[in-house]
Amino acid sequence: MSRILIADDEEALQRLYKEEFEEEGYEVVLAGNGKEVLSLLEDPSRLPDLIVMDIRMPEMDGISTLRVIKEKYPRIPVILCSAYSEFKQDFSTWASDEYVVKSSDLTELKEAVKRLIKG
Amino acid sequence: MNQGFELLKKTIRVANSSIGFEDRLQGILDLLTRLEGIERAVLFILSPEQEKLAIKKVSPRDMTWEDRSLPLTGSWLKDLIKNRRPQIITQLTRKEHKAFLKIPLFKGFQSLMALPVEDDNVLYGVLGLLSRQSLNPDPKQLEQFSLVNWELAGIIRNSKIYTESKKIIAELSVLYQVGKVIGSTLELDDLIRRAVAIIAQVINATGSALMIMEKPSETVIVESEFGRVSSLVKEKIRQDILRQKGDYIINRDFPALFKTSRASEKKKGDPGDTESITSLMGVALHFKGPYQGQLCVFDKIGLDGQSNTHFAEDDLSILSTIGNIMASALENALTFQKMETLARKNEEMVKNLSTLYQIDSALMTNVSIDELPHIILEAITLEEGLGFNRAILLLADEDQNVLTPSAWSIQEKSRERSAGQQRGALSGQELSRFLINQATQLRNTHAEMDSRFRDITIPLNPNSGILAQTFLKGQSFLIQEAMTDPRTNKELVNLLKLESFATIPVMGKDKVIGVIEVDNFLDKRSITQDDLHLLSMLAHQAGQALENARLYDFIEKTNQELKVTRERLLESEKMVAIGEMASGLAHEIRNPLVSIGGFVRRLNKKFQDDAQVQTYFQVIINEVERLEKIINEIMEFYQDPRGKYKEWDLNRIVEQALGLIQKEIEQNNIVVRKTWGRVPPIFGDDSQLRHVFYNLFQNSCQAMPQGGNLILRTFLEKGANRSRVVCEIIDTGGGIPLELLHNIFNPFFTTKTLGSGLGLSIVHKIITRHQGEVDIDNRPGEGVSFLIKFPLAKEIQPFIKIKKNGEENHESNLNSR
Repeated sequence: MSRILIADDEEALQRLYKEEFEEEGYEVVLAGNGKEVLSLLEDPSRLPDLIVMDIRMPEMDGISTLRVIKEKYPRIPVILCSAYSEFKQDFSTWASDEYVVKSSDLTELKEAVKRLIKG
Repeated sequence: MNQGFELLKKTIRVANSSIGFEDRLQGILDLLTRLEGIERAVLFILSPEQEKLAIKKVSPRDMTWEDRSLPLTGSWLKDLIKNRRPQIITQLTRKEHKAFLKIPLFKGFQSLMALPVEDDNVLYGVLGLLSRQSLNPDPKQLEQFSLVNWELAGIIRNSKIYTESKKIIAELSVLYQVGKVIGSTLELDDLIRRAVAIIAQVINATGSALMIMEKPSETVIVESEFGRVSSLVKEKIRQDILRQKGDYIINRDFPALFKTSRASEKKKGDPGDTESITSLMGVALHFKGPYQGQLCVFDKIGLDGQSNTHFAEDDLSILSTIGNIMASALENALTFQKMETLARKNEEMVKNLSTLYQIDSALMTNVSIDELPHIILEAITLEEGLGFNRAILLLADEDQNVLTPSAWSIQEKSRERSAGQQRGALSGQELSRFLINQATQLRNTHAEMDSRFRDITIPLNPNSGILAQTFLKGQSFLIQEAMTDPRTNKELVNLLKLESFATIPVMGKDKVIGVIEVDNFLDKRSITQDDLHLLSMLAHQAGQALENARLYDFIEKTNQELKVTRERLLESEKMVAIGEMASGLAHEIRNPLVSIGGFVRRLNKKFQDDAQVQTYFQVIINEVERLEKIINEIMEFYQDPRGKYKEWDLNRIVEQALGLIQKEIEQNNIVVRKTWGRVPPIFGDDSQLRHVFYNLFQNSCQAMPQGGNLILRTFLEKGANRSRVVCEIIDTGGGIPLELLHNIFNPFFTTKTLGSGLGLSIVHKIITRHQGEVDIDNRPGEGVSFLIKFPLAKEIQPFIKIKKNGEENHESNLNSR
């Protein structure tokens, strides 16, 4: 079973993502900010197959977290999922494997996850 | 004794009577011939030179005698004159009496008694008493005769004194009259005219002439004549002045003196030459100033008023005195005239200066570069202004290196003025005001004037004539014979029918900016140096004014551009602020919206069997989707990734946008007609630009659900200052209802059931952001056409690139990927 690490500071969204992706047959691990993400990654036995991460988060934002992940764990694909559509064009997000603008319709996000895990 | 007493008594009575001097002399002679033995008495008067004896009176009166004089020959006569001794010749037969006897009066007499007529001082003449008998007076008788002679001498002396005083009085009276005339006026012309007339009268001459020359230049400055003065006389006077000849009298046939000069003038056939002058008299006029003159009278009239006599020394002395008086009076008059001329010149200068001042103030009140040239030229051609018939102002086009006419003006004598205003009466501020008013009207009339002037183009090289020379050398020219002068441009001369003309450079701040041409092609008045001087002053002012206007024009344009730029900037700043706010707001809303939408979808899945609940969920889902779409649009709109701006081909962008909507076009049966022009690239964000056209096409499609025509056209619109790339979109969708037209760019306005209503307002924002413009030609009931205009990439690129630089700092980060 593929493991997905989802980072978002909104509890409601955490819950939505968890339920939706578990329904899709993934193991979902949740984090509230970038620091939590990095600490979770410290356990080599529980490394996720993919990370979905918001940009605007307390303590440590998605962009700086993305940089650390891509340095330390370059093989783990990262999807940035943010309410800011303009960051899509921003160079700082180009290191991510995918950029999805947050939407209540999770179809786009799900498709991206499926595609990246397959690859 | 008695007889002797009687004679003396009567003689004294006659001598002191009130009858004329002549009659008194005659009377005394008559008394003598009544004496016994004296048949004839003759009175001789000694000439002033004491050389001759002239017969003055004879008694008895019925004698006719020749007017002849007797030479002082013969010893007895000499003795008589020299020693004043009475001579008694008893026998008139001797040889020494021969000359005496030749005179018929003395024929047939035997003896002569010649007695000196003298007083205690002067010998006046000789009294001759003749007898057919032998005269032998006794001493007593001799004494009687001597006493009679004493009386005769007294009469003659008195007569002389009388004549002398009469002459002196006459002279004084002449001088008085001349003085009166001369003193009566300071007006030179009048003075001279009167003077020559009175001089001719007082000297008793047929005519008189006066000429004064200026010494250094030898030009005649004053000339006047009375009576008929032939050109010969005038020439003589002129020559005499040049030779500085003094006073003279010529008493003979005048033309004979000028045989040589006459021969040369024969051809002219001056009628004055044929009349000869018998006498001529002239005096030199001496002045303190640099003048030399002559006063001349000719043809003395005799006392009887008919016969011509000769001028005498007395006349010359009078004339000389008159000449002296005249000279000083003339000197005064000449000085006065000079002063008057100066004053007039002064006045003229003041007038000119005031005109210039008025023109200047007219120029200063107007700073329009379009009207100024007309004011300047109107000032030059207006009669109250400089009064030239025609003026053309040519300004230099430095790009083309040619002179082209900017304005022209022709004096129109018949030009009517508004009611009650006389052109001649224009003065002071009226002139200034008139010029300003006129300029506006002139601009209109000149616009439709013949192309003769407009088409003039003069290359700025030294070979293209005077106008180019004026510009290149920065100096003025005065051409008298335009046709024959080798320096002129014959083509232009023919075109403008130039004869005499002047050109003057118009100076800007530090260089020549143009040329003014003036001529008097209508009244052929010659252009003077004064005219040119005045014109150059005006040209100077005109240059300043034009330069000011140019500067002002430039400043105004720059100001205008600044204003536009500032407005755009303000707008974009406003937009950035709004954008940030909207984007923050959108972001805040999006998260909860995702939660709502996400969980509703989950609920929807969970209650798949309950159809009624499902419809409710579906509504929520749709609404959330709608909200999310709005948020996307807002965020899409307010972010302006200018860093991505590039050069794009508008044709391609429009074509791409058209591709996006192809499906709807086909569905609605819309016929698309495209005309792509060759257009230079524009600068911007392609996705936004595509959005513009996509949105507009969408609009058209929605307006033509039953089909129609969509006409697309691109072209380059060339403007004076900047060009634009234009795309025209014409549909046949019935147009926009008038009540909606003013609202179509309002972001919160929509007529559509679908979409947010942001469509056209986003179109507008994107276009403005790209510094473009939208024009709408709405034809209600027919269709609408949009004209979308973008500036050329090369024109706006420099302004937009600034943002991109900021981005390039992050370039290194990007490479680390």
